Amino acid sequence: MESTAAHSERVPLLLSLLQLMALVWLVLNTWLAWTQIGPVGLSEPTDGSWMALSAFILLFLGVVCPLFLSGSRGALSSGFFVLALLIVAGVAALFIAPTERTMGIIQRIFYVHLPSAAAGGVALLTSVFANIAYLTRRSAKWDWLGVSAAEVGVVCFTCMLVTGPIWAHPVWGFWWDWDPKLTSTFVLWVMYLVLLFLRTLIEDPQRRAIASAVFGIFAFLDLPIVYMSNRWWRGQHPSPVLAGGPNSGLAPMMKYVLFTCMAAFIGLVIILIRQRYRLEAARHDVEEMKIEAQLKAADREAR
Amino acid sequence: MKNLGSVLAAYIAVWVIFFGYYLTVGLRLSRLAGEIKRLKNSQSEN
Amino acid sequence: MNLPRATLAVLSKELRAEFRSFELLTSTVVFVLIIVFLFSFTFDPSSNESRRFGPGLLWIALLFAGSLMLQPSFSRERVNDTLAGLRLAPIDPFAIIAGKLLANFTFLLVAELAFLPVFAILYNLSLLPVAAPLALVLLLGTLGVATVGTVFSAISSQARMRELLLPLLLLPALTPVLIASTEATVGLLSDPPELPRNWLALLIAFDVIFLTATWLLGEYLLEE
Repeated sequence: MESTAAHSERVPLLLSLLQLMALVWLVLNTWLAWTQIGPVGLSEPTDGSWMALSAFILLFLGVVCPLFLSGSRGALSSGFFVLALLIVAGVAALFIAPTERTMGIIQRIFYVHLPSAAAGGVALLTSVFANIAYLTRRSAKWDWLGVSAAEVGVVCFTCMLVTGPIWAHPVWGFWWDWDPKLTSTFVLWVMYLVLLFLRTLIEDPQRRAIASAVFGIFAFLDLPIVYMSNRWWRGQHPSPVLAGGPNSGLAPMMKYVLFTCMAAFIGLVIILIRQRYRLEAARHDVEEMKIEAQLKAADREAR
Repeated sequence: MKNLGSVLAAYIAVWVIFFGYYLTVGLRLSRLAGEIKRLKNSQSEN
Repeated sequence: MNLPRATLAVLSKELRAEFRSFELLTSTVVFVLIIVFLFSFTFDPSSNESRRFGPGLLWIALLFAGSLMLQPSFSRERVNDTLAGLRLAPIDPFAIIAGKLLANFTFLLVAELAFLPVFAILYNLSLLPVAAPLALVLLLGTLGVATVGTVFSAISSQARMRELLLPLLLLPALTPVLIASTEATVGLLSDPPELPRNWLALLIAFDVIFLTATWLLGEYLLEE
Protein backbone atom coordinates (compact mmCIF):
# COMPACT_ATOMS: atom_id res chain seq x y z
CA MET A 1 0.00 0.00 0.00
CA GLU A 2 3.03 2.29 0.35
CA SER A 3 4.70 1.25 -2.86
CA THR A 4 4.42 4.75 -4.39
CA ALA A 5 6.22 6.39 -1.48
CA ALA A 6 8.80 3.68 -0.99
CA HIS A 7 10.24 3.16 -4.45
CA SER A 8 13.51 4.80 -3.48
CA GLU A 9 14.33 2.17 -0.84
CA ARG A 10 14.09 -1.56 -1.10
CA VAL A 11 13.39 -2.51 2.52
CA PRO A 12 10.10 -0.59 2.90
CA LEU A 13 8.93 -2.03 -0.41
CA LEU A 14 9.77 -5.54 0.72
CA LEU A 15 7.94 -4.98 4.02
CA SER A 16 4.88 -3.62 2.25
CA LEU A 17 4.92 -6.68 0.06
CA LEU A 18 5.11 -8.94 3.10
CA GLN A 19 2.26 -7.04 4.69
CA LEU A 20 0.21 -7.43 1.54
CA MET A 21 0.94 -11.15 1.41
CA ALA A 22 0.00 -11.54 5.07
CA LEU A 23 -3.25 -9.71 4.46
CA VAL A 24 -4.07 -11.83 1.41
CA TRP A 25 -3.30 -14.94 3.44
CA LEU A 26 -5.60 -13.77 6.22
CA VAL A 27 -8.50 -12.82 3.95
CA LEU A 28 -8.13 -16.01 1.91
CA ASN A 29 -8.21 -18.15 5.05
CA THR A 30 -11.19 -16.31 6.43
CA TRP A 31 -13.02 -16.72 3.11
CA LEU A 32 -12.18 -20.42 3.06
CA ALA A 33 -13.50 -20.67 6.60
CA TRP A 34 -16.69 -18.96 5.53
CA THR A 35 -17.22 -21.34 2.62
CA GLN A 36 -16.98 -24.25 5.10
CA ILE A 37 -13.85 -25.66 3.44
CA GLY A 38 -11.74 -24.71 6.43
CA PRO A 39 -8.72 -22.43 6.44
CA VAL A 40 -5.40 -23.66 5.11
CA GLY A 41 -3.69 -25.72 7.78
CA LEU A 42 -6.90 -26.72 9.47
CA SER A 43 -7.36 -30.04 7.71
CA GLU A 44 -6.46 -31.72 11.00
CA PRO A 45 -9.34 -30.92 13.34
CA THR A 46 -7.22 -30.27 16.45
CA ASP A 47 -4.43 -28.32 14.84
CA GLY A 48 -4.69 -25.19 16.93
CA SER A 49 -1.01 -24.57 17.58
CA TRP A 50 -0.38 -24.27 13.86
CA MET A 51 -3.03 -21.56 13.63
CA ALA A 52 -1.48 -19.73 16.57
CA LEU A 53 1.91 -19.78 14.91
CA SER A 54 0.40 -18.47 11.68
CA ALA A 55 -1.40 -15.67 13.54
CA PHE A 56 1.75 -14.52 15.26
CA ILE A 57 3.91 -14.65 12.15
CA LEU A 58 1.22 -12.43 10.64
CA LEU A 59 1.48 -10.07 13.57
CA PHE A 60 5.26 -9.94 13.42
CA LEU A 61 5.45 -9.29 9.70
CA GLY A 62 2.54 -6.89 9.47
CA VAL A 63 2.78 -4.84 12.65
CA VAL A 64 6.16 -5.16 14.35
CA CYS A 65 8.55 -5.08 11.38
CA PRO A 66 7.27 -1.84 9.79
CA LEU A 67 7.73 -0.04 13.13
CA PHE A 68 11.50 -0.34 12.70
CA LEU A 69 11.39 1.86 9.63
CA SER A 70 12.44 5.44 10.18
CA GLY A 71 9.93 8.25 10.02
CA SER A 72 6.17 8.02 10.23
CA ARG A 73 5.78 5.82 7.18
CA GLY A 74 6.31 2.52 9.03
CA ALA A 75 3.93 3.48 11.80
CA LEU A 76 1.31 4.48 9.25
CA SER A 77 1.57 1.22 7.34
CA SER A 78 1.45 -0.93 10.46
CA GLY A 79 -1.50 1.14 11.64
CA PHE A 80 -3.34 0.38 8.43
CA PHE A 81 -2.43 -3.27 8.78
CA VAL A 82 -3.86 -3.38 12.32
CA LEU A 83 -7.02 -1.72 11.04
CA ALA A 84 -7.37 -4.40 8.34
CA LEU A 85 -6.69 -7.13 10.90
CA LEU A 86 -9.35 -5.70 13.20
CA ILE A 87 -11.93 -5.58 10.40
CA VAL A 88 -11.22 -9.18 9.36
CA ALA A 89 -11.27 -10.30 13.01
CA GLY A 90 -14.57 -8.54 13.64
CA VAL A 91 -16.20 -10.08 10.57
CA ALA A 92 -14.83 -13.49 11.51
CA ALA A 93 -16.02 -13.24 15.12
CA LEU A 94 -19.51 -12.05 14.25
CA PHE A 95 -20.30 -14.01 11.07
CA ILE A 96 -17.86 -16.86 10.47
CA ALA A 97 -17.34 -18.47 13.85
CA PRO A 98 -19.88 -21.26 14.43
CA THR A 99 -22.61 -20.53 16.96
CA GLU A 100 -22.00 -22.30 20.25
CA ARG A 101 -24.44 -25.12 20.97
CA THR A 102 -25.57 -24.37 24.53
CA MET A 103 -24.85 -20.68 24.99
CA GLY A 104 -25.96 -19.42 21.59
CA ILE A 105 -24.64 -16.23 20.05
CA ILE A 106 -23.76 -14.71 23.43
CA GLN A 107 -20.62 -16.85 23.27
CA ARG A 108 -19.33 -14.51 20.53
CA ILE A 109 -18.41 -12.02 23.27
CA PHE A 110 -15.62 -14.50 24.03
CA TYR A 111 -13.84 -13.31 20.86
CA VAL A 112 -13.33 -9.85 22.36
CA HIS A 113 -13.13 -10.86 26.02
CA LEU A 114 -10.24 -13.31 25.80
CA PRO A 115 -8.20 -11.30 23.23
CA SER A 116 -8.45 -8.17 25.37
CA ALA A 117 -7.21 -10.24 28.31
CA ALA A 118 -4.33 -11.54 26.19
CA ALA A 119 -3.52 -8.08 24.87
CA GLY A 120 -3.67 -6.67 28.40
CA GLY A 121 -1.33 -9.42 29.50
CA VAL A 122 1.12 -8.53 26.74
CA ALA A 123 0.94 -4.87 27.75
CA LEU A 124 1.52 -5.61 31.44
CA LEU A 125 4.41 -7.96 30.64
CA THR A 126 5.96 -5.19 28.56
CA SER A 127 5.42 -2.77 31.40
CA VAL A 128 7.09 -4.99 33.98
CA PHE A 129 9.95 -5.76 31.63
CA ALA A 130 10.44 -2.01 31.17
CA ASN A 131 10.24 -1.44 34.93
CA ILE A 132 12.99 -3.98 35.58
CA ALA A 133 15.04 -2.54 32.72
CA TYR A 134 14.65 0.94 34.19
CA LEU A 135 15.90 -0.14 37.60
CA THR A 136 18.97 -1.80 36.10
CA ARG A 137 19.72 0.57 33.20
CA ARG A 138 18.41 3.92 34.49
CA SER A 139 17.48 5.25 31.08
CA ALA A 140 14.35 7.42 31.09
CA LYS A 141 13.17 5.69 27.93
CA TRP A 142 12.41 2.52 29.88
CA ASP A 143 10.31 4.56 32.26
CA TRP A 144 8.33 5.98 29.34
CA LEU A 145 7.78 2.51 27.93
CA GLY A 146 6.74 1.26 31.37
CA VAL A 147 4.07 3.88 31.89
CA SER A 148 2.80 3.62 28.30
CA ALA A 149 2.39 -0.12 28.51
CA ALA A 150 0.77 0.12 31.95
CA GLU A 151 -1.79 2.62 30.70
CA VAL A 152 -2.64 0.55 27.62
CA GLY A 153 -2.86 -2.52 29.85
CA VAL A 154 -5.39 -0.74 32.03
CA VAL A 155 -7.45 0.05 28.91
CA CYS A 156 -7.40 -3.63 27.87
CA PHE A 157 -8.34 -4.80 31.33
CA THR A 158 -11.19 -2.30 31.32
CA CYS A 159 -12.47 -3.93 28.12
CA MET A 160 -12.20 -7.33 29.71
CA LEU A 161 -14.02 -6.21 32.86
CA VAL A 162 -16.79 -4.58 30.79
CA THR A 163 -17.39 -7.48 28.40
CA GLY A 164 -17.19 -10.12 31.13
CA PRO A 165 -20.36 -9.10 33.01
CA ILE A 166 -22.26 -8.53 29.73
CA TRP A 167 -21.53 -12.17 28.92
CA ALA A 168 -22.10 -13.42 32.45
CA HIS A 169 -25.53 -11.88 32.95
CA PRO A 170 -27.44 -14.06 30.46
CA VAL A 171 -25.25 -17.14 31.01
CA TRP A 172 -24.78 -17.27 34.79
CA GLY A 173 -27.83 -15.21 35.67
CA PHE A 174 -25.83 -12.57 37.53
CA TRP A 175 -23.41 -9.83 36.50
CA TRP A 176 -20.50 -10.47 38.76
CA ASP A 177 -19.25 -13.23 40.96
CA TRP A 178 -16.54 -12.85 43.55
CA ASP A 179 -14.70 -15.87 42.31
CA PRO A 180 -10.92 -15.85 42.82
CA LYS A 181 -10.07 -15.27 39.18
CA LEU A 182 -12.45 -12.35 38.74
CA THR A 183 -11.39 -10.89 42.05
CA SER A 184 -7.71 -11.12 41.25
CA THR A 185 -8.18 -9.55 37.83
CA PHE A 186 -10.12 -6.74 39.42
CA VAL A 187 -7.38 -6.23 42.00
CA LEU A 188 -4.73 -6.13 39.29
CA TRP A 189 -6.76 -3.55 37.37
CA VAL A 190 -7.16 -1.38 40.48
CA MET A 191 -3.44 -1.61 41.26
CA TYR A 192 -2.43 -0.42 37.81
CA LEU A 193 -4.96 2.42 38.05
CA VAL A 194 -3.31 3.40 41.35
CA LEU A 195 0.08 3.18 39.64
CA LEU A 196 -1.04 5.72 37.04
CA PHE A 197 -2.44 7.92 39.82
CA LEU A 198 0.80 7.62 41.80
CA ARG A 199 2.76 9.01 38.87
CA THR A 200 0.76 12.23 38.90
CA LEU A 201 1.66 12.81 42.57
CA ILE A 202 5.47 12.72 42.37
CA GLU A 203 7.11 15.72 40.73
CA ASP A 204 10.75 14.71 40.45
CA PRO A 205 11.10 12.59 37.27
CA GLN A 206 13.71 10.23 38.68
CA ARG A 207 11.90 9.58 41.95
CA ARG A 208 8.69 9.12 40.02
CA ALA A 209 10.35 6.59 37.75
CA ILE A 210 11.86 4.57 40.59
CA ALA A 211 8.71 4.61 42.72
CA SER A 212 6.47 3.58 39.85
CA ALA A 213 8.90 0.89 38.70
CA VAL A 214 9.02 -0.66 42.17
CA PHE A 215 5.27 -0.41 42.58
CA GLY A 216 4.71 -1.84 39.10
CA ILE A 217 6.85 -4.86 39.90
CA PHE A 218 5.04 -5.37 43.20
CA ALA A 219 1.68 -5.15 41.47
CA PHE A 220 2.81 -7.64 38.88
CA LEU A 221 3.92 -10.06 41.58
CA ASP A 222 0.23 -10.37 42.41
CA LEU A 223 -0.12 -12.31 39.15
CA PRO A 224 1.25 -15.64 40.44
CA ILE A 225 -1.36 -15.38 43.16
CA VAL A 226 -3.98 -14.79 40.45
CA TYR A 227 -2.76 -17.94 38.76
CA MET A 228 -2.64 -20.00 41.94
CA SER A 229 -6.09 -18.93 43.01
CA ASN A 230 -7.39 -19.88 39.55
CA ARG A 231 -5.96 -23.36 39.70
CA TRP A 232 -6.61 -24.12 43.37
CA TRP A 233 -10.20 -23.09 43.77
CA ARG A 234 -12.63 -23.90 41.05
CA GLY A 235 -15.07 -21.04 40.85
CA GLN A 236 -17.70 -19.78 38.42
CA HIS A 237 -15.24 -18.74 35.76
CA PRO A 238 -14.84 -21.17 32.83
CA SER A 239 -11.55 -23.01 32.94
CA PRO A 240 -8.86 -21.97 30.48
CA VAL A 241 -9.86 -23.23 27.02
CA LEU A 242 -6.43 -23.19 25.42
CA ALA A 243 -4.23 -24.81 28.06
CA GLY A 244 -6.84 -26.36 30.33
CA GLY A 245 -7.62 -29.97 31.11
CA PRO A 246 -8.52 -32.70 28.63
CA ASN A 247 -12.23 -31.87 28.61
CA SER A 248 -11.82 -28.22 27.73
CA GLY A 249 -11.23 -27.18 24.18
CA LEU A 250 -12.52 -25.29 21.22
CA ALA A 251 -13.78 -26.28 17.81
CA PRO A 252 -11.03 -25.70 15.22
CA MET A 253 -12.99 -22.95 13.51
CA MET A 254 -13.45 -21.18 16.83
CA LYS A 255 -9.72 -21.47 17.42
CA TYR A 256 -9.04 -19.91 14.04
CA VAL A 257 -11.30 -16.95 14.79
CA LEU A 258 -9.91 -16.63 18.31
CA PHE A 259 -6.31 -16.47 17.12
CA THR A 260 -7.19 -13.94 14.44
CA CYS A 261 -8.85 -11.78 17.08
CA MET A 262 -5.89 -12.18 19.42
CA ALA A 263 -3.47 -11.13 16.70
CA ALA A 264 -5.64 -8.10 15.93
CA PHE A 265 -5.88 -7.01 19.56
CA ILE A 266 -2.19 -7.50 20.25
CA GLY A 267 -1.42 -5.51 17.11
CA LEU A 268 -3.70 -2.77 18.35
CA VAL A 269 -1.94 -2.76 21.70
CA ILE A 270 1.45 -2.43 20.02
CA ILE A 271 0.23 0.58 18.05
CA LEU A 272 -1.33 2.16 21.16
CA ILE A 273 1.79 1.66 23.26
CA ARG A 274 3.90 3.24 20.54
CA GLN A 275 1.58 6.24 20.35
CA ARG A 276 1.51 6.65 24.13
CA TYR A 277 5.30 6.39 24.23
CA ARG A 278 5.54 9.28 21.78
CA LEU A 279 3.30 11.28 24.09
CA GLU A 280 5.57 10.61 27.06
CA ALA A 281 8.63 11.58 25.01
CA ALA A 282 6.97 14.81 23.90
CA ARG A 283 6.08 15.57 27.51
CA HIS A 284 9.74 15.13 28.44
CA ASP A 285 10.74 17.50 25.63
CA VAL A 286 8.31 20.15 26.84
CA GLU A 287 9.63 19.88 30.40
CA GLU A 288 13.20 20.26 29.19
CA MET A 289 12.33 23.23 27.00
CA LYS A 290 10.55 24.91 29.89
CA ILE A 291 13.56 24.48 32.14
CA GLU A 292 15.78 25.84 29.40
CA ALA A 293 13.52 28.87 28.94
CA GLN A 294 13.56 29.50 32.68
CA LEU A 295 17.35 29.29 32.79
CA LYS A 296 17.62 31.75 29.92
CA ALA A 297 15.23 34.17 31.60
CA ALA A 298 17.22 33.97 34.83
CA ASP A 299 20.40 34.50 32.87
CA ARG A 300 19.01 37.63 31.23
CA GLU A 301 17.88 39.02 34.56
CA ALA A 302 21.30 38.43 36.06
CA ARG A 303 22.82 40.45 33.27
CA MET B 1 -31.11 -14.74 17.97
CA LYS B 2 -31.49 -14.38 21.72
CA ASN B 3 -29.05 -11.97 23.43
CA LEU B 4 -28.17 -10.16 20.22
CA GLY B 5 -28.38 -6.88 22.13
CA SER B 6 -25.77 -8.02 24.67
CA VAL B 7 -23.36 -9.14 21.97
CA LEU B 8 -23.69 -5.83 20.13
CA ALA B 9 -23.33 -3.90 23.39
CA ALA B 10 -20.12 -5.73 24.20
CA TYR B 11 -18.59 -5.16 20.77
CA ILE B 12 -19.58 -1.51 20.74
CA ALA B 13 -18.23 -1.03 24.27
CA VAL B 14 -14.85 -2.48 23.31
CA TRP B 15 -14.74 -0.34 20.18
CA VAL B 16 -15.65 2.82 22.09
CA ILE B 17 -13.09 2.16 24.85
CA PHE B 18 -10.18 1.54 22.47
CA PHE B 19 -11.08 4.28 20.03
CA GLY B 20 -11.77 6.73 22.85
CA TYR B 21 -8.39 5.97 24.34
CA TYR B 22 -6.69 6.43 20.97
CA LEU B 23 -8.44 9.79 20.62
CA THR B 24 -7.38 10.99 24.07
CA VAL B 25 -3.76 10.07 23.36
CA GLY B 26 -3.95 11.89 20.04
CA LEU B 27 -5.53 14.89 21.70
CA ARG B 28 -2.89 15.07 24.41
CA LEU B 29 -0.18 14.69 21.77
CA SER B 30 -1.48 17.50 19.60
CA ARG B 31 -1.79 19.74 22.66
CA LEU B 32 1.85 19.02 23.54
CA ALA B 33 2.89 19.62 19.93
CA GLY B 34 1.22 23.03 20.12
CA GLU B 35 3.08 23.77 23.32
CA ILE B 36 6.39 22.74 21.79
CA LYS B 37 5.74 25.08 18.88
CA ARG B 38 4.88 27.93 21.25
CA LEU B 39 8.03 27.35 23.31
CA LYS B 40 10.19 27.22 20.19
CA ASN B 41 8.69 30.50 18.96
CA SER B 42 9.29 32.24 22.27
CA GLN B 43 12.85 30.97 22.26
CA SER B 44 13.60 32.24 18.78
CA GLU B 45 12.11 35.62 19.66
CA ASN B 46 14.68 36.15 22.39
CA MET C 1 28.82 -3.15 60.47
CA ASN C 2 27.22 -6.29 59.12
CA LEU C 3 23.62 -6.50 58.02
CA PRO C 4 22.04 -8.13 61.11
CA ARG C 5 23.68 -5.70 63.53
CA ALA C 6 22.78 -2.69 61.41
CA THR C 7 19.19 -3.96 61.14
CA LEU C 8 19.04 -4.36 64.91
CA ALA C 9 20.37 -0.84 65.37
CA VAL C 10 17.67 0.63 63.10
CA LEU C 11 15.04 -1.54 64.79
CA SER C 12 16.03 -0.40 68.27
CA LYS C 13 16.03 3.22 67.11
CA GLU C 14 12.48 2.82 65.78
CA LEU C 15 11.30 1.07 68.94
CA ARG C 16 12.87 3.68 71.18
CA ALA C 17 11.24 6.49 69.21
CA GLU C 18 7.84 4.85 69.50
CA PHE C 19 8.03 3.65 73.10
CA ARG C 20 8.98 7.14 74.20
CA SER C 21 5.47 8.38 73.47
CA PHE C 22 3.31 5.40 72.42
CA GLU C 23 1.60 7.83 70.02
CA LEU C 24 1.27 5.41 67.15
CA LEU C 25 0.22 2.40 69.18
CA THR C 26 -2.40 4.22 71.22
CA SER C 27 -4.01 5.85 68.22
CA THR C 28 -4.01 2.56 66.27
CA VAL C 29 -5.58 0.52 69.06
CA VAL C 30 -8.24 3.17 69.62
CA PHE C 31 -8.90 3.33 65.87
CA VAL C 32 -9.35 -0.43 65.65
CA LEU C 33 -11.68 -0.40 68.64
CA ILE C 34 -13.79 2.30 66.99
CA ILE C 35 -14.01 0.22 63.80
CA VAL C 36 -15.03 -2.86 65.78
CA PHE C 37 -17.60 -0.82 67.67
CA LEU C 38 -19.03 0.59 64.44
CA PHE C 39 -19.17 -2.83 62.80
CA SER C 40 -21.40 -4.11 65.61
CA PHE C 41 -24.22 -2.03 64.10
CA THR C 42 -24.02 -3.79 60.73
CA PHE C 43 -25.00 -7.22 62.03
CA ASP C 44 -26.22 -8.88 65.19
CA PRO C 45 -23.04 -9.79 67.12
CA SER C 46 -24.39 -13.02 68.57
CA SER C 47 -22.02 -15.96 68.84
CA ASN C 48 -23.26 -17.69 65.66
CA GLU C 49 -23.27 -14.59 63.49
CA SER C 50 -19.86 -13.55 64.79
CA ARG C 51 -18.38 -16.85 63.78
CA ARG C 52 -19.40 -16.12 60.20
CA PHE C 53 -18.58 -12.42 59.98
CA GLY C 54 -16.07 -11.97 62.78
CA PRO C 55 -12.90 -13.10 61.00
CA GLY C 56 -13.51 -10.84 58.01
CA LEU C 57 -14.20 -7.94 60.32
CA LEU C 58 -11.07 -8.67 62.32
CA TRP C 59 -8.85 -8.66 59.27
CA ILE C 60 -10.42 -5.62 57.66
CA ALA C 61 -9.89 -3.75 60.92
CA LEU C 62 -6.28 -4.92 61.05
CA LEU C 63 -5.65 -3.91 57.43
CA PHE C 64 -7.09 -0.43 58.02
CA ALA C 65 -5.01 -0.15 61.16
CA GLY C 66 -1.95 -1.17 59.17
CA SER C 67 -2.54 1.42 56.47
CA LEU C 68 -2.86 4.03 59.21
CA MET C 69 0.06 2.87 61.31
CA LEU C 70 2.64 2.32 58.57
CA GLN C 71 2.21 5.83 57.20
CA PRO C 72 4.64 7.62 59.60
CA SER C 73 7.32 4.96 59.15
CA PHE C 74 9.04 6.96 56.44
CA SER C 75 7.21 10.27 56.42
CA ARG C 76 8.25 10.81 60.05
CA GLU C 77 11.84 10.95 58.80
CA ARG C 78 11.04 13.77 56.41
CA VAL C 79 10.51 16.42 59.08
CA ASN C 80 14.20 16.81 59.79
CA ASP C 81 15.33 14.82 56.76
CA THR C 82 16.76 12.19 59.07
CA LEU C 83 16.55 9.59 56.32
CA ALA C 84 19.50 11.33 54.63
CA GLY C 85 21.45 10.83 57.85
CA LEU C 86 20.56 7.16 57.97
CA ARG C 87 21.62 6.78 54.36
CA LEU C 88 25.00 8.31 55.07
CA ALA C 89 25.73 5.64 57.67
CA PRO C 90 28.23 3.03 56.45
CA ILE C 91 25.67 0.22 56.42
CA ASP C 92 23.86 -1.82 53.81
CA PRO C 93 20.84 0.35 52.79
CA PHE C 94 18.68 -2.75 53.06
CA ALA C 95 19.28 -2.65 56.82
CA ILE C 96 17.19 0.55 56.99
CA ILE C 97 14.27 -1.11 55.24
CA ALA C 98 14.67 -4.34 57.23
CA GLY C 99 14.85 -2.50 60.56
CA LYS C 100 11.75 -0.48 59.77
CA LEU C 101 9.99 -3.61 58.56
CA LEU C 102 10.72 -5.44 61.82
CA ALA C 103 9.66 -2.41 63.84
CA ASN C 104 6.36 -2.18 61.96
CA PHE C 105 5.88 -5.91 62.42
CA THR C 106 6.39 -5.50 66.16
CA PHE C 107 4.02 -2.53 66.41
CA LEU C 108 1.29 -4.38 64.54
CA LEU C 109 1.70 -7.44 66.75
CA VAL C 110 1.55 -5.34 69.92
CA ALA C 111 -1.61 -3.64 68.66
CA GLU C 112 -3.15 -7.03 67.87
CA LEU C 113 -2.29 -8.37 71.33
CA ALA C 114 -3.97 -5.37 72.88
CA PHE C 115 -7.11 -5.58 70.84
CA LEU C 116 -7.77 -9.29 70.28
CA PRO C 117 -9.10 -9.98 73.83
CA VAL C 118 -11.46 -7.01 73.54
CA PHE C 119 -12.62 -8.24 70.16
CA ALA C 120 -13.22 -11.76 71.49
CA ILE C 121 -15.30 -10.44 74.38
CA LEU C 122 -17.35 -7.94 72.37
CA TYR C 123 -18.19 -10.51 69.69
CA ASN C 124 -18.67 -13.52 71.97
CA LEU C 125 -15.90 -15.55 70.35
CA SER C 126 -13.80 -18.07 72.25
CA LEU C 127 -10.34 -17.62 70.81
CA LEU C 128 -8.37 -19.30 73.60
CA PRO C 129 -8.85 -22.95 72.46
CA VAL C 130 -7.36 -22.13 69.04
CA ALA C 131 -4.76 -19.67 70.33
CA ALA C 132 -1.70 -21.46 68.90
CA PRO C 133 -2.88 -21.90 65.28
CA LEU C 134 -4.50 -18.45 65.38
CA ALA C 135 -1.17 -16.98 66.46
CA LEU C 136 0.45 -18.65 63.44
CA VAL C 137 -2.13 -17.15 61.06
CA LEU C 138 -1.75 -13.75 62.72
CA LEU C 139 2.05 -13.88 62.48
CA LEU C 140 2.02 -14.81 58.79
CA GLY C 141 -0.68 -12.30 57.90
CA THR C 142 0.94 -9.50 59.86
CA LEU C 143 4.30 -10.22 58.28
CA GLY C 144 2.69 -9.79 54.86
CA VAL C 145 1.08 -6.51 55.91
CA ALA C 146 4.33 -5.20 57.42
CA THR C 147 6.47 -6.18 54.40
CA VAL C 148 4.35 -4.64 51.67
CA GLY C 149 3.36 -1.78 53.95
CA THR C 150 6.93 -0.72 54.70
CA VAL C 151 7.87 -0.61 51.01
CA PHE C 152 4.72 1.27 50.04
CA SER C 153 5.21 3.66 52.92
CA ALA C 154 8.62 4.48 51.44
CA ILE C 155 6.93 5.09 48.07
CA SER C 156 4.08 7.20 49.39
CA SER C 157 6.36 9.34 51.57
CA GLN C 158 7.84 10.74 48.35
CA ALA C 159 4.51 11.82 46.91
CA ARG C 160 1.98 14.54 47.47
CA MET C 161 -1.18 13.59 49.43
CA ARG C 162 0.73 10.80 51.12
CA GLU C 163 -1.86 10.22 53.85
CA LEU C 164 -4.42 9.39 51.18
CA LEU C 165 -2.03 7.53 48.96
CA LEU C 166 -0.82 4.77 51.28
CA PRO C 167 -4.22 3.07 51.73
CA LEU C 168 -4.75 3.26 47.97
CA LEU C 169 -1.43 1.58 47.30
CA LEU C 170 -1.63 -0.87 50.15
CA LEU C 171 -5.16 -2.19 50.43
CA PRO C 172 -5.51 -3.66 46.90
CA ALA C 173 -2.10 -5.28 47.17
CA LEU C 174 -3.05 -6.88 50.45
CA THR C 175 -6.27 -8.52 49.23
CA PRO C 176 -4.58 -11.95 49.01
CA VAL C 177 -3.56 -11.59 52.66
CA LEU C 178 -7.07 -10.50 53.58
CA ILE C 179 -8.72 -13.42 51.77
CA ALA C 180 -6.28 -16.06 52.96
CA SER C 181 -6.13 -15.03 56.60
CA THR C 182 -9.89 -14.48 56.79
CA GLU C 183 -10.54 -17.95 55.38
CA ALA C 184 -7.95 -19.48 57.70
CA THR C 185 -9.54 -17.77 60.70
CA VAL C 186 -13.01 -18.90 59.61
CA GLY C 187 -11.65 -22.45 59.51
CA LEU C 188 -10.27 -22.06 63.03
CA LEU C 189 -13.56 -20.73 64.41
CA SER C 190 -15.74 -23.37 62.75
CA ASP C 191 -16.88 -26.47 64.60
CA PRO C 192 -14.71 -28.58 64.81
CA PRO C 193 -11.83 -26.13 64.30
CA GLU C 194 -9.42 -26.92 61.51
CA LEU C 195 -6.47 -25.08 60.03
CA PRO C 196 -6.92 -24.93 56.23
CA ARG C 197 -3.53 -25.87 54.77
CA ASN C 198 -3.98 -24.26 51.36
CA TRP C 199 -4.76 -20.81 52.74
CA LEU C 200 -1.80 -21.09 55.07
CA ALA C 201 0.34 -22.03 52.07
CA LEU C 202 -0.94 -18.96 50.22
CA LEU C 203 0.00 -16.74 53.15
CA ILE C 204 3.49 -18.26 53.26
CA ALA C 205 3.86 -17.84 49.50
CA PHE C 206 2.79 -14.19 49.75
CA ASP C 207 5.28 -13.52 52.55
CA VAL C 208 8.15 -15.25 50.76
CA ILE C 209 7.45 -13.54 47.40
CA PHE C 210 7.19 -10.06 48.85
CA LEU C 211 10.04 -10.42 51.34
CA THR C 212 12.28 -11.41 48.42
CA ALA C 213 10.98 -8.52 46.33
CA THR C 214 11.64 -6.14 49.21
CA TRP C 215 15.15 -7.47 49.62
CA LEU C 216 15.82 -7.02 45.90
CA LEU C 217 14.07 -3.69 45.26
CA GLY C 218 13.73 -1.90 48.59
CA GLU C 219 16.99 -0.02 48.52
CA TYR C 220 16.20 1.65 45.18
CA LEU C 221 13.56 3.64 47.05
CA LEU C 222 16.18 5.11 49.39
CA GLU C 223 18.22 6.63 46.59
CA GLU C 224 18.60 10.34 46.46
